[in-house]
Amino acid sequence: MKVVIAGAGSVGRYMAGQLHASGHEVVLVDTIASVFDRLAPSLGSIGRHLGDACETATLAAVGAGDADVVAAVTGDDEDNLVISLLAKQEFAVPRVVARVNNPNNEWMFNEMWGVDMSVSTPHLLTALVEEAVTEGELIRLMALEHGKAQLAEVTLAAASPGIGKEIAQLGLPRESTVVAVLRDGHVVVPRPDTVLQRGDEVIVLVTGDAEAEVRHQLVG
Amino acid sequence: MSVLRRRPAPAPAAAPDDATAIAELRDRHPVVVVGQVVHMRALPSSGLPSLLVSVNDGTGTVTVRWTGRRAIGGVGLGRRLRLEGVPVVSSGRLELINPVYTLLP
Repeated sequence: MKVVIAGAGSVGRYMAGQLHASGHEVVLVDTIASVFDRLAPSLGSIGRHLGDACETATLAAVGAGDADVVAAVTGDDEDNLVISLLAKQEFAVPRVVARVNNPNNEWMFNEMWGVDMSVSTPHLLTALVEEAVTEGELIRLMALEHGKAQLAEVTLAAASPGIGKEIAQLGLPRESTVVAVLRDGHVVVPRPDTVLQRGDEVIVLVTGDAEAEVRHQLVG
Repeated sequence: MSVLRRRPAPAPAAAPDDATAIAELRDRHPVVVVGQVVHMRALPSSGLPSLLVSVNDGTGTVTVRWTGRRAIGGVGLGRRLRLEGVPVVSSGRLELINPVYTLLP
Protein backbone atom coordinates (compact mmCIF):
# COMPACT_ATOMS: atom_id res chain seq x y z
CA MET A 1 0.00 0.00 0.00
CA LYS A 2 1.04 3.56 -0.56
CA VAL A 3 0.79 5.71 2.55
CA VAL A 4 1.31 9.46 2.82
CA ILE A 5 2.06 10.62 6.36
CA ALA A 6 1.68 14.34 6.99
CA GLY A 7 3.69 15.41 10.01
CA ALA A 8 7.13 13.91 10.65
CA GLY A 9 7.19 14.42 14.40
CA SER A 10 7.68 11.51 16.75
CA VAL A 11 4.25 10.07 15.84
CA GLY A 12 4.75 10.38 12.08
CA ARG A 13 8.28 9.01 12.18
CA TYR A 14 7.24 6.06 14.32
CA MET A 15 4.36 5.23 11.98
CA ALA A 16 6.64 5.56 8.97
CA GLY A 17 9.11 3.12 10.52
CA GLN A 18 6.45 0.56 11.36
CA LEU A 19 4.71 0.75 7.99
CA HIS A 20 8.02 0.68 6.13
CA ALA A 21 8.99 -2.44 8.07
CA SER A 22 5.74 -4.08 6.98
CA GLY A 23 6.66 -3.43 3.39
CA HIS A 24 4.46 -0.44 2.60
CA GLU A 25 5.50 2.45 0.42
CA VAL A 26 5.71 5.44 2.77
CA VAL A 27 6.19 9.16 2.13
CA LEU A 28 6.67 11.57 5.04
CA VAL A 29 5.78 15.24 4.61
CA ASP A 30 6.84 18.06 6.91
CA THR A 31 7.56 21.76 6.70
CA ILE A 32 10.69 21.51 8.84
CA ALA A 33 13.73 19.96 7.17
CA SER A 34 15.54 19.11 10.40
CA VAL A 35 12.90 16.60 11.57
CA PHE A 36 13.92 14.27 8.76
CA ASP A 37 17.44 14.10 10.26
CA ARG A 38 15.93 12.32 13.24
CA LEU A 39 14.81 9.37 11.14
CA ALA A 40 16.74 6.27 12.09
CA PRO A 41 19.53 5.49 9.60
CA SER A 42 17.80 2.18 8.83
CA LEU A 43 14.87 4.15 7.44
CA GLY A 44 16.95 5.84 4.77
CA SER A 45 14.76 4.59 1.98
CA ILE A 46 11.55 6.19 3.29
CA GLY A 47 10.31 8.94 1.01
CA ARG A 48 10.51 12.43 2.49
CA HIS A 49 9.13 15.65 1.15
CA LEU A 50 9.72 19.15 2.47
CA GLY A 51 6.51 21.12 2.10
CA ASP A 52 3.17 22.09 3.58
CA ALA A 53 0.67 19.23 3.35
CA CYS A 54 -2.12 21.80 3.80
CA GLU A 55 -1.40 22.82 0.20
CA THR A 56 -3.04 20.88 -2.61
CA ALA A 57 0.15 21.18 -4.66
CA THR A 58 2.21 19.48 -1.96
CA LEU A 59 -0.23 16.59 -1.70
CA ALA A 60 -0.18 16.26 -5.49
CA ALA A 61 3.63 16.24 -5.47
CA VAL A 62 3.80 13.36 -3.00
CA GLY A 63 1.29 11.35 -5.00
CA ALA A 64 -1.85 11.61 -2.87
CA GLY A 65 -3.72 10.93 -6.12
CA ASP A 66 -2.78 7.27 -6.01
CA ALA A 67 -2.20 6.86 -2.26
CA ASP A 68 -4.25 4.21 -0.48
CA VAL A 69 -4.06 6.01 2.84
CA VAL A 70 -3.31 9.56 3.97
CA ALA A 71 -2.53 9.95 7.67
CA ALA A 72 -2.72 13.50 9.06
CA VAL A 73 -0.71 13.27 12.27
CA THR A 74 0.73 16.74 12.83
CA GLY A 75 0.58 18.32 16.28
CA ASP A 76 -1.95 20.85 15.03
CA ASP A 77 -5.62 19.86 14.78
CA GLU A 78 -6.44 22.61 12.28
CA ASP A 79 -3.73 21.36 9.95
CA ASN A 80 -4.90 17.77 10.37
CA LEU A 81 -8.45 18.75 9.40
CA VAL A 82 -7.33 20.69 6.34
CA ILE A 83 -5.07 17.85 5.21
CA SER A 84 -7.91 15.36 5.67
CA LEU A 85 -10.41 17.46 3.76
CA LEU A 86 -8.01 18.03 0.86
CA ALA A 87 -7.06 14.35 0.73
CA LYS A 88 -10.70 13.31 0.46
CA GLN A 89 -12.07 16.15 -1.63
CA GLU A 90 -9.23 16.72 -4.07
CA PHE A 91 -7.69 13.25 -4.29
CA ALA A 92 -10.54 10.91 -3.24
CA VAL A 93 -8.17 9.00 -0.97
CA PRO A 94 -10.01 5.82 0.12
CA ARG A 95 -8.87 5.95 3.73
CA VAL A 96 -8.06 9.15 5.58
CA VAL A 97 -6.80 8.78 9.14
CA ALA A 98 -6.35 11.79 11.41
CA ARG A 99 -4.80 12.43 14.80
CA VAL A 100 -6.79 14.45 17.33
CA ASN A 101 -4.48 16.43 19.59
CA ASN A 102 -7.05 18.24 21.69
CA PRO A 103 -10.01 16.00 22.60
CA ASN A 104 -12.26 19.08 22.53
CA ASN A 105 -11.82 19.08 18.76
CA GLU A 106 -12.76 15.45 18.29
CA TRP A 107 -16.34 16.25 17.25
CA MET A 108 -15.04 17.81 14.04
CA PHE A 109 -13.03 14.77 12.94
CA ASN A 110 -15.72 13.15 10.83
CA GLU A 111 -16.80 12.74 7.23
CA MET A 112 -17.63 16.41 6.95
CA TRP A 113 -13.92 17.06 7.07
CA GLY A 114 -13.02 14.00 5.03
CA VAL A 115 -11.88 11.96 8.05
CA ASP A 116 -12.63 8.23 7.86
CA MET A 117 -11.01 7.35 11.16
CA SER A 118 -9.70 9.55 13.94
CA VAL A 119 -7.52 8.67 16.87
CA SER A 120 -7.48 10.83 19.96
CA THR A 121 -4.58 9.90 22.20
CA PRO A 122 -5.88 11.69 25.32
CA HIS A 123 -9.27 10.07 24.85
CA LEU A 124 -7.71 6.67 24.35
CA LEU A 125 -5.54 7.11 27.44
CA THR A 126 -8.55 8.14 29.51
CA ALA A 127 -10.47 5.11 28.30
CA LEU A 128 -7.56 2.83 29.14
CA VAL A 129 -7.19 4.30 32.63
CA GLU A 130 -10.94 4.01 33.22
CA GLU A 131 -10.83 0.48 31.93
CA ALA A 132 -8.04 -0.37 34.40
CA VAL A 133 -9.72 1.06 37.48
CA THR A 134 -13.39 0.50 36.81
CA GLU A 135 -15.45 -2.58 37.43
CA GLY A 136 -19.09 -2.97 36.52
CA GLU A 137 -19.29 -0.11 34.01
CA LEU A 138 -19.53 -0.10 30.25
CA ILE A 139 -16.47 1.73 28.94
CA ARG A 140 -16.17 2.88 25.36
CA LEU A 141 -12.74 2.04 24.04
CA MET A 142 -12.97 3.16 20.46
CA ALA A 143 -15.46 4.51 17.95
CA LEU A 144 -15.73 2.87 14.53
CA GLU A 145 -17.54 4.02 11.40
CA HIS A 146 -17.86 7.61 12.60
CA GLY A 147 -19.27 6.62 15.95
CA LYS A 148 -22.00 4.37 14.53
CA ALA A 149 -20.30 1.46 16.27
CA GLN A 150 -18.36 1.35 19.51
CA LEU A 151 -15.89 -1.11 20.87
CA ALA A 152 -16.74 -1.26 24.56
CA GLU A 153 -15.50 -3.15 27.57
CA VAL A 154 -17.15 -4.32 30.79
CA THR A 155 -15.39 -5.93 33.72
CA LEU A 156 -18.06 -8.09 35.32
CA ALA A 157 -18.67 -7.07 38.93
CA ALA A 158 -20.35 -9.35 41.48
CA ALA A 159 -23.73 -7.76 40.74
CA SER A 160 -23.64 -8.37 36.99
CA PRO A 161 -26.68 -10.32 35.76
CA GLY A 162 -24.40 -11.96 33.17
CA ILE A 163 -22.39 -14.02 35.67
CA GLY A 164 -22.96 -17.77 35.38
CA LYS A 165 -24.77 -17.40 32.06
CA GLU A 166 -23.74 -18.68 28.67
CA ILE A 167 -23.21 -15.93 26.11
CA ALA A 168 -26.15 -17.26 24.08
CA GLN A 169 -28.39 -16.89 27.13
CA LEU A 170 -27.51 -13.24 27.74
CA GLY A 171 -30.11 -12.05 25.29
CA LEU A 172 -27.81 -9.45 23.77
CA PRO A 173 -29.46 -7.42 21.03
CA ARG A 174 -28.74 -8.28 17.38
CA GLU A 175 -26.80 -5.05 16.91
CA SER A 176 -24.11 -6.18 19.33
CA THR A 177 -21.63 -8.99 19.54
CA VAL A 178 -19.12 -10.24 22.10
CA VAL A 179 -15.74 -10.17 20.35
CA ALA A 180 -13.51 -11.41 23.16
CA VAL A 181 -13.45 -12.32 26.83
CA LEU A 182 -10.28 -11.67 28.83
CA ARG A 183 -9.96 -14.01 31.78
CA ASP A 184 -6.93 -14.29 34.10
CA GLY A 185 -4.71 -12.69 31.49
CA HIS A 186 -5.83 -15.03 28.71
CA VAL A 187 -8.06 -14.37 25.76
CA VAL A 188 -11.08 -16.64 25.67
CA VAL A 189 -12.55 -16.81 22.20
CA PRO A 190 -16.27 -16.32 22.86
CA ARG A 191 -18.62 -19.10 21.82
CA PRO A 192 -22.35 -19.32 22.42
CA ASP A 193 -21.73 -21.72 25.32
CA THR A 194 -18.94 -19.73 26.98
CA VAL A 195 -19.99 -19.18 30.61
CA LEU A 196 -19.16 -15.75 32.01
CA GLN A 197 -17.50 -15.40 35.38
CA ARG A 198 -16.94 -12.59 37.83
CA GLY A 199 -13.90 -10.51 36.86
CA ASP A 200 -14.16 -11.39 33.15
CA GLU A 201 -13.37 -8.47 30.89
CA VAL A 202 -15.96 -8.71 28.16
CA ILE A 203 -15.18 -6.82 24.95
CA VAL A 204 -18.31 -6.01 22.97
CA LEU A 205 -18.91 -4.41 19.61
CA VAL A 206 -22.07 -2.31 19.86
CA THR A 207 -23.95 -0.02 17.51
CA GLY A 208 -25.49 3.11 18.99
CA ASP A 209 -29.01 1.97 19.75
CA ALA A 210 -28.01 -1.28 21.37
CA GLU A 211 -25.74 0.20 24.01
CA ALA A 212 -28.38 0.64 26.71
CA GLU A 213 -29.56 -2.94 26.28
CA VAL A 214 -25.99 -4.31 26.43
CA ARG A 215 -25.36 -2.30 29.58
CA HIS A 216 -28.55 -3.72 31.07
CA GLN A 217 -27.49 -7.31 30.33
CA LEU A 218 -23.87 -7.05 31.44
CA VAL A 219 -23.82 -4.33 34.10
CA GLY A 220 -27.31 -4.64 35.54
CA MET B 1 -3.14 27.52 4.93
CA SER B 2 -6.51 27.67 3.35
CA VAL B 3 -9.30 25.28 2.52
CA LEU B 4 -10.34 27.56 -0.29
CA ARG B 5 -9.30 26.31 -3.65
CA ARG B 6 -6.66 28.40 -5.31
CA ARG B 7 -7.72 28.10 -8.88
CA PRO B 8 -7.63 30.49 -11.77
CA ALA B 9 -10.61 32.81 -12.05
CA PRO B 10 -13.73 30.86 -13.04
CA ALA B 11 -13.92 30.15 -16.71
CA PRO B 12 -16.55 32.12 -18.56
CA ALA B 13 -19.81 30.24 -19.12
CA ALA B 14 -18.53 26.75 -19.54
CA ALA B 15 -18.68 25.11 -22.88
CA PRO B 16 -20.20 21.71 -22.20
CA ASP B 17 -17.86 20.13 -24.74
CA ASP B 18 -15.03 19.90 -22.18
CA ALA B 19 -17.34 17.87 -19.97
CA THR B 20 -17.20 14.15 -19.27
CA ALA B 21 -20.33 12.02 -19.57
CA ILE B 22 -21.52 11.07 -16.09
CA ALA B 23 -21.79 7.44 -17.20
CA GLU B 24 -18.03 7.49 -17.75
CA LEU B 25 -16.90 8.84 -14.38
CA ARG B 26 -14.12 6.87 -12.76
CA ASP B 27 -13.01 6.78 -9.17
CA ARG B 28 -10.23 9.30 -8.45
CA HIS B 29 -10.10 10.78 -11.95
CA PRO B 30 -10.73 14.56 -11.82
CA VAL B 31 -13.57 15.58 -14.10
CA VAL B 32 -15.83 18.34 -15.31
CA VAL B 33 -19.48 17.38 -15.70
CA VAL B 34 -22.45 19.40 -16.87
CA GLY B 35 -25.94 18.33 -15.93
CA GLN B 36 -29.27 19.19 -14.43
CA VAL B 37 -30.33 18.95 -10.81
CA VAL B 38 -32.96 16.23 -10.58
CA HIS B 39 -33.11 15.64 -6.86
CA MET B 40 -32.10 17.50 -3.72
CA ARG B 41 -31.89 16.45 -0.12
CA ALA B 42 -30.56 18.19 2.98
CA LEU B 43 -29.10 15.83 5.54
CA PRO B 44 -29.71 15.37 8.37
CA SER B 45 -32.37 17.56 9.92
CA SER B 46 -30.19 17.81 13.00
CA GLY B 47 -26.49 17.27 13.55
CA LEU B 48 -23.81 17.74 10.92
CA PRO B 49 -25.40 19.23 7.83
CA SER B 50 -24.73 18.28 4.26
CA LEU B 51 -26.53 18.97 1.02
CA LEU B 52 -26.99 16.03 -1.36
CA VAL B 53 -27.82 16.85 -4.94
CA SER B 54 -28.37 14.38 -7.80
CA VAL B 55 -27.20 15.69 -11.16
CA ASN B 56 -28.18 14.04 -14.45
CA ASP B 57 -26.68 14.70 -17.87
CA GLY B 58 -28.70 12.23 -19.92
CA THR B 59 -26.05 9.50 -19.63
CA GLY B 60 -26.36 8.96 -15.90
CA THR B 61 -26.76 10.50 -12.48
CA VAL B 62 -24.08 11.43 -9.98
CA THR B 63 -24.51 12.44 -6.36
CA VAL B 64 -22.90 15.67 -5.28
CA ARG B 65 -22.25 16.27 -1.61
CA TRP B 66 -21.61 19.70 -0.17
CA THR B 67 -20.61 19.41 3.46
CA GLY B 68 -21.41 21.86 6.21
CA ARG B 69 -24.47 23.43 4.56
CA ARG B 70 -28.09 22.65 3.83
CA ALA B 71 -28.65 25.01 0.92
CA ILE B 72 -26.70 26.83 -1.77
CA GLY B 73 -28.07 29.96 -3.38
CA GLY B 74 -29.03 29.29 -6.98
CA VAL B 75 -28.82 25.51 -6.72
CA GLY B 76 -32.36 24.21 -7.08
CA LEU B 77 -34.34 21.57 -8.93
CA GLY B 78 -33.95 21.88 -12.69
CA ARG B 79 -30.86 24.12 -12.49
CA ARG B 80 -28.04 23.27 -14.89
CA LEU B 81 -24.64 23.08 -13.22
CA ARG B 82 -21.07 22.77 -14.32
CA LEU B 83 -19.15 20.81 -11.69
CA GLU B 84 -15.46 20.25 -11.33
CA GLY B 85 -14.27 17.69 -8.82
CA VAL B 86 -12.89 14.25 -8.10
CA PRO B 87 -15.28 11.27 -7.92
CA VAL B 88 -14.91 9.32 -4.70
CA VAL B 89 -16.50 6.00 -3.81
CA SER B 90 -18.95 6.45 -0.96
CA SER B 91 -21.21 3.58 0.13
CA GLY B 92 -20.44 1.80 -3.13
CA ARG B 93 -21.39 4.72 -5.39
CA LEU B 94 -19.46 7.56 -6.95
CA GLU B 95 -19.88 10.95 -5.36
CA LEU B 96 -18.42 14.39 -5.94
CA ILE B 97 -17.51 16.06 -2.67
CA ASN B 98 -17.50 19.85 -2.51
CA PRO B 99 -16.91 20.32 -6.24
CA VAL B 100 -16.29 23.71 -7.76
CA TYR B 101 -19.64 24.68 -9.28
CA THR B 102 -20.88 27.15 -11.85
CA LEU B 103 -24.55 27.96 -12.30
CA LEU B 104 -25.52 27.68 -15.97
CA PRO B 105 -28.48 29.37 -17.62
